Amino acid sequence: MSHPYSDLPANAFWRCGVAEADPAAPAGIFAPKFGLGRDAAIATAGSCFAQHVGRALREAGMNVLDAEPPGRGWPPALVRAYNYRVYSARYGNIYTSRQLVQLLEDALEGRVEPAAVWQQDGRFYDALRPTVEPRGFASAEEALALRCTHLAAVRGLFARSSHFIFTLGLTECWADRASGRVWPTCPGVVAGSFDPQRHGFLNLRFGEVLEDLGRARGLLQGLNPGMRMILTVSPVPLTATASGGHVLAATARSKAVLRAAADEFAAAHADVDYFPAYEIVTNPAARGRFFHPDLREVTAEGVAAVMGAFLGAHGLAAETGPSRTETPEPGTDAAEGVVCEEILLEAFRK
Amino acid sequence: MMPRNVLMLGNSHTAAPRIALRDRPETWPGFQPDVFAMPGDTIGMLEVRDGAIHPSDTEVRRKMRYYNGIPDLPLSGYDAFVVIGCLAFHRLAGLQEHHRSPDFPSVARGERCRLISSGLVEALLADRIGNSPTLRLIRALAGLGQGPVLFMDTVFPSVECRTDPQDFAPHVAMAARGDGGAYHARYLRILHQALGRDAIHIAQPADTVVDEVFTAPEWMRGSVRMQPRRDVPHEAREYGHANPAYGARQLDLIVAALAAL
Repeated sequence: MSHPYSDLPANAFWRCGVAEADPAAPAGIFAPKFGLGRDAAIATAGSCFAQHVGRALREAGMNVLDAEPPGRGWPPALVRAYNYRVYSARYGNIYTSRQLVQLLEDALEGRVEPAAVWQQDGRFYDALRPTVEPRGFASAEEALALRCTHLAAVRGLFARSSHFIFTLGLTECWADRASGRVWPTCPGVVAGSFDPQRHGFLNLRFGEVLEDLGRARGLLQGLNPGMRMILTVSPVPLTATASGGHVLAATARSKAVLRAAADEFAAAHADVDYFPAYEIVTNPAARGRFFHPDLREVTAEGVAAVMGAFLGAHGLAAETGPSRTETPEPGTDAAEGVVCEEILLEAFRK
Repeated sequence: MMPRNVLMLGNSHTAAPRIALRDRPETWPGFQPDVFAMPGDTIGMLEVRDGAIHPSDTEVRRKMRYYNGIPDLPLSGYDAFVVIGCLAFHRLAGLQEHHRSPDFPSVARGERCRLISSGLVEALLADRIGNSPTLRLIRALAGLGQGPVLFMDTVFPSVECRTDPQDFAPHVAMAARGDGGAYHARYLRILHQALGRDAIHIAQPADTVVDEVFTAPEWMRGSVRMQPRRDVPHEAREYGHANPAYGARQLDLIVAALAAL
């Protein structure tokens, strides 16, 4: 007797596709909607996990754009500490869809707000990317001048990108109640001070994320009509939640909203794809081995599983020969060392 | 009390004071330092351990024998050290060739560059200075606890290199933009922080300096190579080394600094 399940491939069944399959090489988990060739000009952004994506793509020999490259001969430790080569520009982690929209609007309008400079111990921080300068700026003027330069670089970046890979990380964020502007960190964590009258908690809902993605796509298409987007959801759980609930439930809520919105958005647009990084890392068949003992950071094996699936699906085996990026020291975990200001919240743990 | 057993050590820039002292020893009565000189690219391959300077491999050992006639250098008898050359301000000009911060005079005037923060400029300088073989050597010598360490960094290049920049191109361009003085002031501040209490820095005599970051040609023309057995002059287009007249000025400052201890 014939029925819709009788001719499905093995990966359509849980037992063959998950329970008895190798979680490090999940066959057929991703069928790209459009191609990604070696000639693709790729921009990356997103939450902490997106750093692995950009790094792995560079190591695979892909053309990951860098609109704010470091100088020749700068020591790797400083390059990293000052957020060079972390993403395609020095925007730091973009955790939420709202933050992405805001960055794109700022870049396109050249909007720089003096109010978005926070002070801490006599130093000045760009509130919209507070950890790109580990010691802060010397003055508010310097912070604003560097932000102007940064926004120009972002405009140039997206004008020449053929593909934009964006990793959605969180739904929770903090916003200025009056202006609606959001920050990557709660005021007072890295710098600045928290004012409950002025700063409000925002937990983006499904519709809001979807709307943000639509606005972001519109802005990007306006700048570069041929650009394609690849969305992923970070598997990294929340460090802390301000929602009032349990962090486990808050994480599930956040990831579910992002996953659903990404799916809905990709389904609606031919130039938007969704890649299941979240699913690969959280696959029950891995029995947690793709997470470090803190159950939060993703291991090198987990990153390899994700990027192997991504590159394999695009027919892009890693290039042999010298990588275009620095090689990790022997014995180090390539998945370690992500720049993640959200982890700073851990310092406030009771 | 004036140290009696002084070791002057460094790279090719030790030649100028060594020859000045050899030719006119009566100018600095009682000052008879030993001189230990190695090519600049080997300074980082010298190890201070067990109270002596050792070469780190056979090639460096060969050079040590060639330039100094010894396989290693015991340090136990010295009560003062003078490190000469090695760290060169002009070699740091490349850091600001393309990337500059808003407080550079040229940037303040509106000249284009890749803008970076002043904090990053300082961090880059601090890294290059603090992790240099020169600073490692100075710290090791200070760690012996045998006596003071003086440090005279590399002389500014001759002003003549402005019309023939060669490797000094970033330095010449920096000066042409008007950034030399401010960048050098920043370098000095960071150098002094890095030296801390490990060494006393002796600055280049002001009357030898031209346009903030160059040396007047009369202190440079006629410089001599590090060759230990005969005086081999540098070629005319060599703008990085000082002559024995400048070496005499260095000795004046070194002797004065030691006497003031």
